[in-house]
Amino acid sequence: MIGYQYGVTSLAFLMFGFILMMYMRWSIAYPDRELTGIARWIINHLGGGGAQKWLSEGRINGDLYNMFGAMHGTIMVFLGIVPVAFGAFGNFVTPLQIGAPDMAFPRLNMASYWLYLIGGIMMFCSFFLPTGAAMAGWTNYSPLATTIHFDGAEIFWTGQTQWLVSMVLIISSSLLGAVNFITTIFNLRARGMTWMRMSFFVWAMLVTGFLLLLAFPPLEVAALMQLSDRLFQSSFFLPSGLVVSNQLMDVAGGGSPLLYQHLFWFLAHPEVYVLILPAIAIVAEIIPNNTRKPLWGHHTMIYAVLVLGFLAFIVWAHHMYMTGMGSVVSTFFQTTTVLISVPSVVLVTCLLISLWGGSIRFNVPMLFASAFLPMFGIGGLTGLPLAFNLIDLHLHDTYYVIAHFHYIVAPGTIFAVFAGIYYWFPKATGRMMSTWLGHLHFWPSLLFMNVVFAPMFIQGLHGFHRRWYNGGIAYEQIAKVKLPDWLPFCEGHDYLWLNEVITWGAYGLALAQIPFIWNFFSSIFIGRKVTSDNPWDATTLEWSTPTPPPHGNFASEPVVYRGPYEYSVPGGARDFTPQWQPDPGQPEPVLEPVSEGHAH
Amino acid sequence: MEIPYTVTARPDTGLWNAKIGIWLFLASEVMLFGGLFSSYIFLRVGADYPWPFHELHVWPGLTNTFVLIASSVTVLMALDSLKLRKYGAYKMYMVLTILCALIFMGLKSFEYYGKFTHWGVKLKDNSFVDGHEPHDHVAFGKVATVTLNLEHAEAEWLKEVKGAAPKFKDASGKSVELTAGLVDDLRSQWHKDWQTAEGAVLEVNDKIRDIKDSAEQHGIDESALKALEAKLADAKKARDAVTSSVKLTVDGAPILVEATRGHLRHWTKKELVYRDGTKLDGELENDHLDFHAVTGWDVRAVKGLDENINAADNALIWKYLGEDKRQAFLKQKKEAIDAWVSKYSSKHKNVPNVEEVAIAAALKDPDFLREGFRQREDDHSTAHFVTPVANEDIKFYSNYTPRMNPYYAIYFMMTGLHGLHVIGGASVLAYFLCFGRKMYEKDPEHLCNRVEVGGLFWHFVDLVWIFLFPVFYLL
Repeated sequence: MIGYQYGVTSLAFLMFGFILMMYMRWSIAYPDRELTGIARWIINHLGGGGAQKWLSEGRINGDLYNMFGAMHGTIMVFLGIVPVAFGAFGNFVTPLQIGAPDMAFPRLNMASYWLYLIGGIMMFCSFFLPTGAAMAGWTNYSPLATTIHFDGAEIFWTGQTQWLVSMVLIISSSLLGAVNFITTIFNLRARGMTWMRMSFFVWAMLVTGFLLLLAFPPLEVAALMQLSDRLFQSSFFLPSGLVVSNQLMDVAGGGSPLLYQHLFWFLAHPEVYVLILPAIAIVAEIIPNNTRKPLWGHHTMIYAVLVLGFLAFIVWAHHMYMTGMGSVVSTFFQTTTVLISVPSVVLVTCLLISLWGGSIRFNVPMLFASAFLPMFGIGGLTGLPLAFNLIDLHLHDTYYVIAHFHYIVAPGTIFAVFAGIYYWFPKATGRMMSTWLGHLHFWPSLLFMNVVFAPMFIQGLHGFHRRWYNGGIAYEQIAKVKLPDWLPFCEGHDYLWLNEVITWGAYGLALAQIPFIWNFFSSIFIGRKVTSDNPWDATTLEWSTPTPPPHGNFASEPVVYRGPYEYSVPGGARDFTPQWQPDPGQPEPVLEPVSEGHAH
Repeated sequence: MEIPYTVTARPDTGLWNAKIGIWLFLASEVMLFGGLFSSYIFLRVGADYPWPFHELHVWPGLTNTFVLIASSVTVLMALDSLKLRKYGAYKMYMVLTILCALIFMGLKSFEYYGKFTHWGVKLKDNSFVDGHEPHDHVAFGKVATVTLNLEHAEAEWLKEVKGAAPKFKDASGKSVELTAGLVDDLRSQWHKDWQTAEGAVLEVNDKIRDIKDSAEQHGIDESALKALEAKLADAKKARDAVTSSVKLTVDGAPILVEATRGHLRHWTKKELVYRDGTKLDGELENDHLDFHAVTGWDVRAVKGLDENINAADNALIWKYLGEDKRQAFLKQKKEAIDAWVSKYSSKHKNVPNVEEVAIAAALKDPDFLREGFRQREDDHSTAHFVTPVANEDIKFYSNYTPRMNPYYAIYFMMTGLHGLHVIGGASVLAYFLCFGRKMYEKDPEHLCNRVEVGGLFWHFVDLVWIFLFPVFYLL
């Protein structure tokens, strides 16, 4: 139930974040064009008096762009992707796959959802405050984030302060969730579900849980400190002699802006893996099911994800090469960053090899899962240059970076999320989603994702800065530069023209989601009913439960006899052997008590 | 199926659910306080001001350390009694534990109170004086006009007007009774007017855009375009005429406000601007800061101290503290230097101009600076009244709250969060004490488990204090 709630709420937030992005794209592509119709009507209803604050003569102004930019990032990361990938799929699939009747702490689970929802609603409502929502980037760097609207009469009711309060709630929600997941996986596994019989999905959730558990508290510290800086005028992140709007700030100073960045990225880098591990996990379930082959390197992938989880904690400062923290520190983080690409490549390679020689069923989940591989590959490989601090000097804060991480999160994680929705939908609702609409969703999405993000690499390498809302003078200079001839479709066009291409790509992408939204809601009521509890002929435990799973999940206690990916076992009666099916004469597994020797 | 292992342990892990849960939660708590301790180090190492170490009284902290250790023992005894099924003893030990928590929080409040009522002023040359009960109002009189900025206007400033409620006249001479409600109305009316005027501008703009967009097919209708452009200019003029500033003249005797410094954006001799943009024209009467009792001074950070040990001799604070205090400082400084030089020269026999080298070395020693350049008069009987500190000499002032400097900020952040943990832990234990009977009668082992989980958390809270105490009170 909590899984469904997480799913629907986070999909709504994803859509909301997408709308913010469409405004931004308009401003970038057509900085001299007024908003009209409903787009203008919406802006008129924002806080602070609508148009007079957020539009200049009907056009999107810098403040609005910054606000939408900051909130797009925040909403997509903290209210969209993490809840949908970890909250929704984790909650629904994990207990089923390990044979547990529920999460270990159901009430904690509910508290976690409600904290998330309240935090999300507060975030949303901050758009209607007189100051508008937060506008200092999703990273919320001090001193900028501390000093925005610092002078107002009611500093508590500013978007910037509300962002911090909401984040404290969202972080607390994640912490409770992480405790619940790890405990469930440790203690509620079915009989016979030994560690190495757990699917890769469950392992990835376990590692994700640990990442959230250990990385989020330092961000909570940072949020509380920034809150104190705003509400109690302390100087955790404010240096001495800080001048804002030509006035010396009336604060003590002596604090450190760099400290904020360390605390933030100590969370936010592991957070990147929180965004991507559930995606890889979903794909790792769908690929063996549709190639009808075991997952290649199941154990290798488990060790890789553990190494990745550990390394994720010691790479954070590669986001901070430009802060002047020193070349020794940069070199250390550059080294660890290059190291972490090894387990990442192991994971993708295993998935790729899993395709080899399979008789692949290209159903809709598999289409999304197989598109995930090259898309995530592009995102991952373009990250390598960014790891080197020398190259980062040139690429830092350009569209190259935007393209890099969006390739990972948008056609990467979101495609995996779609794959997961199409795959587990019949288990959750008892009905299939339409295949035809699925194709109508998939192909345009794949096309437009690339139309949106591929040109950003070109622009970024040329120096397009990620925070230009209308470019100003820099635009005019770039407008004189023609694109190289060897680029397809680009003959005779300049770099600015790509802005329009991207923007229309984004609107196309929005249209491509309509079949999905229709498919999702209509299939709940009119989708084709499934005829078996295991419509995909899968091997893992969630397919042994009644459909949809009742309270307590299983009709009788599940018992596990084998590994999770036994497809096409030679000599088998069918091309899949489920985990709950014993070999002839195989005894029922028992839970061995901890021996005395172990206890000491 | 029911959720298993809520009370009994799972055989192969040897643990029940809540025990795993609490250890995981404690792991995240370790990261929370780990982040805070790291921040403490980061702030201390990077401090560009004398780090205020050894400033807290040790005895409340030390007492609290023993109180918490005692409570860790009693909570363990409570669990032990429960395991032996002695419910009476369990209750007694729980009461003792909660009592310890109350003592801890009581001492903590006492410490906090002392800081909140203690103020410090940093003067322009970074010399520093502390004391009690400053009077920090800015008196601004002969106010003849008030200008509201309708973008953000609030009515808070009206509360700071002395005497009877003032009367105003607007530009047309109509009398206005200014209330909070009226300010809100004016503000929203202005927002509405502006929206309407802007709407007219955009409407014309849209028409012009249409003509230009369809130019390729139909050609441009120059005369229509010209007419529209003229219309646009008018609309823009009308919009710009919707002014956000409303000027009110005081009707009757000029008014006097006593404004709290924190509410002001800035002020000069002739005007006073509140944080909501409300501007008052009048005359500044008094913006001195009156300190009632001085309890200490500090000249360590006086500019140039690193290069010139004598810079503090003429620090700004002596202007306010008087010649006696200055002489006392000079004497204290000389003693500190002499002690250092004699100690230094006994160790380094063959250094030429030993005094110079010794002083240079001394300046790097925080303890030397504390002894020679700083004075705390904890005995309030010696405190005396001072002349008001002139506003132009003040760089910064605050009570000892997080605002004072990052040291106090992190002190309050860490001890505050720890205090919240104490309150949280004690509340959970109190819940087990008051409402545990029913569960005990149903399944005593279930209550044991719960108390064990609560006790583990309580030990963690104790452990955090064991680190906090030396970090803030001793190091």
